[in-house]
Amino acid sequence: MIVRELRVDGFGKLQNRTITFDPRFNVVFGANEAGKSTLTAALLASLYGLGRGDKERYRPWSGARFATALRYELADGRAFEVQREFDRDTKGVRVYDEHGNDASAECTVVGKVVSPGHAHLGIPLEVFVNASFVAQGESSIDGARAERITHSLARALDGGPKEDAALGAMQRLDLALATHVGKKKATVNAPLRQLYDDIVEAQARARTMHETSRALDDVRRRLEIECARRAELEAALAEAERRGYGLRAQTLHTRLDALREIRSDLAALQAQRALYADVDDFQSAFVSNLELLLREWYAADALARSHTADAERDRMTPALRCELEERAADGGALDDDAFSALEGDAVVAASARDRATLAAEGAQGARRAAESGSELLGGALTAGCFVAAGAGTLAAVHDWLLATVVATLALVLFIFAFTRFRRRRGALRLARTMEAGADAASAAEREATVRVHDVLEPLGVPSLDELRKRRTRALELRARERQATRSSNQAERAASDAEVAAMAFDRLAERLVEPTGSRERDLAAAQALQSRRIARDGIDLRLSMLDVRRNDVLGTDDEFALERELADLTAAGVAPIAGGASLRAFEASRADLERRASESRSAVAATTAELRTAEAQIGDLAAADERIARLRASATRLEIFEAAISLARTTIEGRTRETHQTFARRLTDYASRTFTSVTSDRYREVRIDPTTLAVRVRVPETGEIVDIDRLSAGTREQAYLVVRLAMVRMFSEGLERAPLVLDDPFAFWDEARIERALPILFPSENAGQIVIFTTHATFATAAAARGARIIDLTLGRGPGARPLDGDENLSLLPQA
Amino acid sequence: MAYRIVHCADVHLETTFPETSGGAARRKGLADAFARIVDEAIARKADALTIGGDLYEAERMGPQTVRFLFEQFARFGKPVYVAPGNHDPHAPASPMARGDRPENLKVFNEAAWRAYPLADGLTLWGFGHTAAEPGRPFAGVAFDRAGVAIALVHGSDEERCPPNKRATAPFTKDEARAAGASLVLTGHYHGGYVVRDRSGPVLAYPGSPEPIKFGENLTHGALEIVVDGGRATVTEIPTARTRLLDLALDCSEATNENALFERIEPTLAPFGKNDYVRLALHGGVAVGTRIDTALLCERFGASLGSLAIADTTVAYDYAALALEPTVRGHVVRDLLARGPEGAAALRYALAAFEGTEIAP
Repeated sequence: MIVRELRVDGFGKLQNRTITFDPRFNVVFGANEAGKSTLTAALLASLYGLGRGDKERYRPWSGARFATALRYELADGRAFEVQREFDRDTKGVRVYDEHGNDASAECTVVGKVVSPGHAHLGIPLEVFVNASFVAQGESSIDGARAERITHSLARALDGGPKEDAALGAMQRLDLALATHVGKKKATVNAPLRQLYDDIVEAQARARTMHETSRALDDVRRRLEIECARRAELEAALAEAERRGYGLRAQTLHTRLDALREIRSDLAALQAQRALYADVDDFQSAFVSNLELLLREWYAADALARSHTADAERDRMTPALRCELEERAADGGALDDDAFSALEGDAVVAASARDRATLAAEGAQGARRAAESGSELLGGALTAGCFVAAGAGTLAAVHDWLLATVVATLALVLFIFAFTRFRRRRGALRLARTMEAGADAASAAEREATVRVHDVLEPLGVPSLDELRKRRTRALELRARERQATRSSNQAERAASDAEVAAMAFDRLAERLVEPTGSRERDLAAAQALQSRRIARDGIDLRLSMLDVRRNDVLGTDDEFALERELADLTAAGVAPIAGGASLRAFEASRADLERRASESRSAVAATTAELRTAEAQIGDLAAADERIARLRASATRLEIFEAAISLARTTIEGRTRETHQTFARRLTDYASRTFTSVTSDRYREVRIDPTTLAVRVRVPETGEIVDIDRLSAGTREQAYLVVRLAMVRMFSEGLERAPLVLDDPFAFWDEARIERALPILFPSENAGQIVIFTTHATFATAAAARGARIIDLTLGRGPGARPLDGDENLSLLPQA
Repeated sequence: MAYRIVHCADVHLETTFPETSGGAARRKGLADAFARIVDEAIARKADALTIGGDLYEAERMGPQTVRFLFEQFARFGKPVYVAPGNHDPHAPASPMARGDRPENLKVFNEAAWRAYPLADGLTLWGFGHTAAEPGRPFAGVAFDRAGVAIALVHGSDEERCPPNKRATAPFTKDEARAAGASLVLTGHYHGGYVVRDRSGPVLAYPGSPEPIKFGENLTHGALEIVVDGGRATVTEIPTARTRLLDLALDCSEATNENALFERIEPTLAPFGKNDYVRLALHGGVAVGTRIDTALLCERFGASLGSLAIADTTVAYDYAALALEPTVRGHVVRDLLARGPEGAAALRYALAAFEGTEIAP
């Protein structure tokens, strides 16, 4: 862009001024307060408009029309004029091309704002101000200014309307990703993960619903089976019902026939019963009593006769009575105890006698044994002595062997003799003892014999055996006498009993029959009557049985009702069914059928209810599947979004890094070359941090890379100017090159430095336009010598004009 | 005496509609369409109703729909012949095999041809799908009954298979003729058509009674087949009330949201509750022009069955941006070079530079 002319109707202290610019190098010269800053502001305002706060600030002091007109040309040769009426704000701006056509639309940027600077330079105001404009005393790049410049630099490098450019774009992409997709580790906002969870949950629900639906097929099959079973049972039940009516008719038929037969039997039996009217009152129960009494009479009479015969047989004759008296005087005189004692004594005597005899015989035998023993003893002793003597002899001749044998024989003989001696002494002792026992037994016999004799003698009985015979006879006679007495008594009692029984019989027979005088005939008459009564009772029993049978047949029913029911069934075409199972069995079978049918109906109802309940619980399968599909589509959409955002971010990040690095490298190269020229080859290497724009140079004396702040103020200003120039050139690559506006950058420069700076400030043919505001006359003169156009504000339209009154020290830097 | 058949297929009861919202209403619409077909069959005094498969989607078949179908079959009263399709293959547990099915329902329950004599000289041959893939139904088959042989099968006319449609039980017109079929009543393609030769109609797809997916062109409804004197005639019975519309709207020069609304409103005005619309916005719009598809759907979707809006507008002159010597310019160049993959990324990247809303 080449600014050609600025016409000011009224802007701050300036009014009715037209300033024409050189397309390459312009030096606006003027003392302080001459209006240089106001002119700079008018230039910027024409291109970009005024900020809200600046409108009142630059309202013309003179009250002139608050308007400017700026003519400029673009690199492509097109020319435009921007006419601004600042009081009309955005409506007060018009842009015309070189043909006078309204080109405002071309210069319209975001928000329908007409901004020719932005549109034609391709950079917004703040970028222009921070990169292409160096305000008074602000050529250094540090602190907040560096930050603004780097922002502008970034925007210029990155593109887009936002200050934070690519970095901000990446942040916004990250934010969008975090907001709409969610970060991987996010716990609160994770839409994609939530979608995945929702899909899993929806799939689980749908799976459950499908499984439930499939499970219903089993329930339906069960229901069909149960329905078929129910139908079978109900058909069977209907058949049973039909059969039941037939059986009922048959039953009714049978019962009514039975009732008719019973009625007939009853009539016949009642006719028979009428023939037994004579025994109506007969007490047949007494007939057995009558028989009993007759048998009692017979028995008592026979017993009386038997006892009478026994009494006669045992009767005591006078001879027997006489004998009884005799025997009572001898054998019967002793009582049983006395007789027993007597028999004891007799036994003792006999026993003692036997013992005495035995003892005597024993003693005698012992004596004989002792005597025979004495003979043997003597012989043995003698023989022993002789043998002993022989042994002694043999010993004397020293025939020791034989002497020993003979001595042993002698010893045997002595031992034998000793044994015989002991036996003989024992036999003698036994003989003495036996003899003493025989004596004692003889004494006892004598005493017992005396006591027996003492008893028998007074009775005149010769022996104990005789006494025993007499005594036995006496006992027999006494027993006969007692038996005769007893039989006589018994005969009397039996005769009495027979009489009592006969009397009782007679009384009872008189009640039952007409007495005939013969008890046997009376009993026979009674028994005949009893037989008739039994026959009549039999008829009564049969009548009762018929009654019972009738009740069994009829039950609680009414016979006429049964007849009506049978008539109804017959009228309904029900045929009796004969044979087959009994009605009870049939009823049992039908009850079983009914029970099974009822169970089947219940099962069908329960299964139907189960089916309905389960069906109601399934829900809308299509909606569930549809939800899964929608969730998947949403997830896919987010996945695509995530992929697109990632691609966008990766691309921006890569391109940003690449562009910034390239820019920094080129900026450094350019600044180094220029700075070398400005400093007469003293400083050959300049390094610029693209992030902070910190400038460092290599000091030739030490070879160190040092911060620019360690150099002198003039050198520092030179360095910053070089960097600024480099940045402007870099910015404008590919875009419309903006004019470089410098507001008195040489405040601290000596003339030599100014001289050295001029070549780099004076642009070449294809370099951009430069407008330098300065109070420095030397610089203006030097610049004029190099062909710069000098715009002397002190002379009004040229050098030498008077300074304007009331000009302020204005800050032209709009706030970034 | 003419024999009259009403034929339909591909009702797809209980199908899902993930493409648009309003799935429940569309499922109800399918059931209504089937009821209208039964109404037509009754009104036209049809002797039989034939269904060429995919009457319902087996995996989502609920008890309510079974009851609905049985009621419709019972309401028709005359024989209903069903040849199951790939979405409702016959199985022991399938609804058409239930014990409480109407007496007039006849199902071709195996993947083999079975004959039902409909009238003198007229036989209906049916072929049902089961769980297994059925192969070529007409291969090596000969219909050995005299007279007109109508084949009922769910299959794919190989010569006219729509793009992206999976073929099942494929056959050709010539195969059907060679087998002895006078007319093939079929289903599977949702856009209906009738193929005729010099002797008359050869095969007929009724199409789904309502469109199921976007892009299903041709006809939707049922067919009336009249067999008289050994010849069959086929008449279409349109039943569709639903329309699935893919619209495109050029939004060029729209500089703001209001302008966009003003353009969309007349575009959608002719459509109503039976119309399910996918609207694609395209063209260049001014940078920063807000296109809130959710808001647009909310504003214009209420009077439609459903509305889905795809924003493919372009707010930038990509060619001009690509010339910028800036990061943005490089990014635009890079992403344009990636083709469709980079298109979405480019939109988001530029929105990020611009600071406007970035949303999927």
